Amino acid sequence: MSATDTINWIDEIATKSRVERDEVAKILLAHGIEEDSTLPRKRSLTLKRVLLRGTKHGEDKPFEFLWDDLSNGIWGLLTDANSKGKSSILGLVRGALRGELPGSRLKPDVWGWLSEFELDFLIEEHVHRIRLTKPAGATEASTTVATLSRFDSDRELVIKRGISDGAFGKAIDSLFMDELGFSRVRAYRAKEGEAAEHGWPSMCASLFISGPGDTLFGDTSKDAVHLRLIQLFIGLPWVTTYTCASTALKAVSARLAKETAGKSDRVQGRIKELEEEIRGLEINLKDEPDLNRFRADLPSLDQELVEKRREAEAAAALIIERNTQYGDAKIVRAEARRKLLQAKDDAEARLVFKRLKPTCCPSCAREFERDRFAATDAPMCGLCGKEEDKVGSTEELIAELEAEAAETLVSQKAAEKAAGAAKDAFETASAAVGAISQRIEEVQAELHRGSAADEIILDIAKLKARIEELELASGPLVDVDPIRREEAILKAAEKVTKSLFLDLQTEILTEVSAALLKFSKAFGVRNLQSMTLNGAGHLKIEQGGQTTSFTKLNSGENLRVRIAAALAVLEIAERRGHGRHPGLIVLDSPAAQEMSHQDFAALVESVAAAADKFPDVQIMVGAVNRHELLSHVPRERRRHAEGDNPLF
Amino acid sequence: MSDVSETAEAAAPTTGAVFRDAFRLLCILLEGSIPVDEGEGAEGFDRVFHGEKRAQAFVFYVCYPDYLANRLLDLHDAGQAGLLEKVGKIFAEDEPSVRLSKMIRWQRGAYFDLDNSLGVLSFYELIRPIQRTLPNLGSQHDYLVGPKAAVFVQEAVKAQPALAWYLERARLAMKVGGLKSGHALKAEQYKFGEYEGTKHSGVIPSIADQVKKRFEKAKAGDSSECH
Repeated sequence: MSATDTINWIDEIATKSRVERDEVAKILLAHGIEEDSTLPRKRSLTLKRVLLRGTKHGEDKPFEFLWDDLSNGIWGLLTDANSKGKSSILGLVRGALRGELPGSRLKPDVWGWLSEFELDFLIEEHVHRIRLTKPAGATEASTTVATLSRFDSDRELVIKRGISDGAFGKAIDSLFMDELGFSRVRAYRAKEGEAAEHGWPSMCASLFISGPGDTLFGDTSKDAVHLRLIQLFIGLPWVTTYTCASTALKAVSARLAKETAGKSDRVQGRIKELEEEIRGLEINLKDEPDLNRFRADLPSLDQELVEKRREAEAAAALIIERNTQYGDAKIVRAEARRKLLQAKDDAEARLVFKRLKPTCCPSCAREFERDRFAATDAPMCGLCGKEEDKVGSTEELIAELEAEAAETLVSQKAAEKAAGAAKDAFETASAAVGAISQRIEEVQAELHRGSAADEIILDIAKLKARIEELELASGPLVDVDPIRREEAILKAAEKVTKSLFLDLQTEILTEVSAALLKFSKAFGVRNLQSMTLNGAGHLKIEQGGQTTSFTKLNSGENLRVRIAAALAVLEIAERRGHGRHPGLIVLDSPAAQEMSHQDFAALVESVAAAADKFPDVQIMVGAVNRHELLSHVPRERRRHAEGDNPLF
Repeated sequence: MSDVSETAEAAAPTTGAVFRDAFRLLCILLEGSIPVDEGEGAEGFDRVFHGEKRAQAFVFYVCYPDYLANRLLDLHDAGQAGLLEKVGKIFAEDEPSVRLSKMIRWQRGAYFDLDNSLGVLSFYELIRPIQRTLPNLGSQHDYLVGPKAAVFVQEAVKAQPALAWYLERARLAMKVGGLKSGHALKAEQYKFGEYEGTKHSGVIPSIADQVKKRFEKAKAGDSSECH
């Protein structure tokens, strides 16, 4: 697998799904869909040794069965009579390999007798052993000690030891899946809505053929395991990738269907109606006053009112104070002006009076002496004898008074301005008081009027609850867009991946079909004209001029074709150099009504003949002895219980 | 300002205003005088002003322009023309504040010590105070004035135009008081609550604010009548 391939693979999926490459990579990773483009190499499984020990019911002497030095090629467990132990041995081998001891094929009495069982096998060249011990006579799993180990030279490495239960089975499953390079078959069961996984036990089943079956390979067609087995055995690359993508796609499609279906249009319509109703109520709610906010506002408004009132009161007090100051200033100013005017008028009156020259004393009315006033050097008053006012003293006084008057004007103006400012401040504060009072009145009026908000909120909650109920009843509302994208990616992944192996698959299946026809004919299926195995796992058969299918074959033909299919796959794998069939085929004699011992012996004879071409394949046969077998299975390669003797 | 000092100031004008007070009184005496009866005058004095109480009453009207304005409004209300304009001028010039000379209430109403003024005027031979025996054998102070005073006032006004206000004001006061007796004039003045309510020796308060309001009202009424 090259980096370029990976990029191309993802790029192609991205292009096909029309989703960003990063998201594609993320989704593929999330589903565990990895690129698996390698042509698989065959890894072999070869049985090496089988050992049974135990004590039969009612017998004192323990028995032992040891079949050693097994290798590739055909091996036979032959009995002259029925029920002499061959199916028990093969059943134990099957159970051990599947990790299901005692397994479904072992009779309970034989299981009871058993005290020790060992199966040595090679995976490639590595020796492994499954060993089980228990007290003879005991049948409970709890009495068992099962061991899975690997041998490195002579050193035993225990992989798992415990009672023979599910955990032990898991250890076996892991060993074979890993060592044989198998990948699990994943499937999505739409009906149950769950993912299923098939591991080693399903694959192992295909190695054991004990009669006719429903499928060409293995023992089940469930989850298309038989188809995957064909693809696995013929060694198709990309199959695991494809299976994963396909499984994931089915799961995602099912999820999408679940999300989109189930909600009837009626329910959806009702949900939409209710949502519309909610929207209407929400619009109404916006128009409704929020009483809680009003209630919350009131204290702060009251507080503000108190503050503004305080400010207004302070401003009013200031107005009184400033007006008083202004009044005082006006009085002082008037006083100053009056004094100034009085002084000016007096000065002027003095001037006019002084021009008069009285001739007699105002007191005694007698005439003044001549030059009564001219005689004095100093300007003295002739009456009171006081010095006359200095020249200019009047002007000086007036100037002083004028200055005082000017000063008082400034003071008066300042006082007036201050009073005006106080008045403005009062008016501002009063306006604020008015505004807040009005706001409080409005809020109180709103509170008095009440609000439908609570009712509307309750109605909305009720409607939401109803929507929730409807959704619950019809599944949650999920944004399906991401799921649709995921589905698109997986669809593209399935398609792109399939295209990568489709041509090769067709080519290989054509070859397998030819080999199948050849072996089927060789194994005694008559009147065959053609056999075509398609990519869906269907086998179309032209027989006697009629078209038929695998399931319509009679039981003898069915068994023959199944064995033929195993060999066909092995042959093609051998020829092409890739393929995953581990090269072990175990044939157990079918029930007499399905095929007579004689016919089976004849079948085995031709199988043995064919097997010569596969030096790396081990075929083990359990059969009631017929002379045909003895010539095809060499003595050293067979255990034969002659007469009435059992194999153990 | 304490009552005592205010009273002292009001009762006797400051020495600084002696000539002004004298001129004011002269204008009043001159404008309020009538020709003397035959044989009653003296040389140089051909007119007489009757009564000191009357003189006090006119001084009050000159010293309190607001009270004068109020009486002028009375006359206006009674139908006399041209007075509203004069009242308007009184307020426009802020006379109730600036021209105010405070007087106190004494036994017989508003009182201003006239002695200094009379002294000055007598000294300059502009008036001659006389005492006249009344028919009821009581006595009354009268004041003789003559052409000298008339010429003096005329020349003074010409030389010092600011003094013309006192002459004009005396004439305006005469419009209100005319030849009414001092008793009658005092009776008129007592009609004011503020005047009458002023306690003995207290300064008579201003009534400028209420008179101004009355004036504004009268003016508005007049203008509305015009329209």
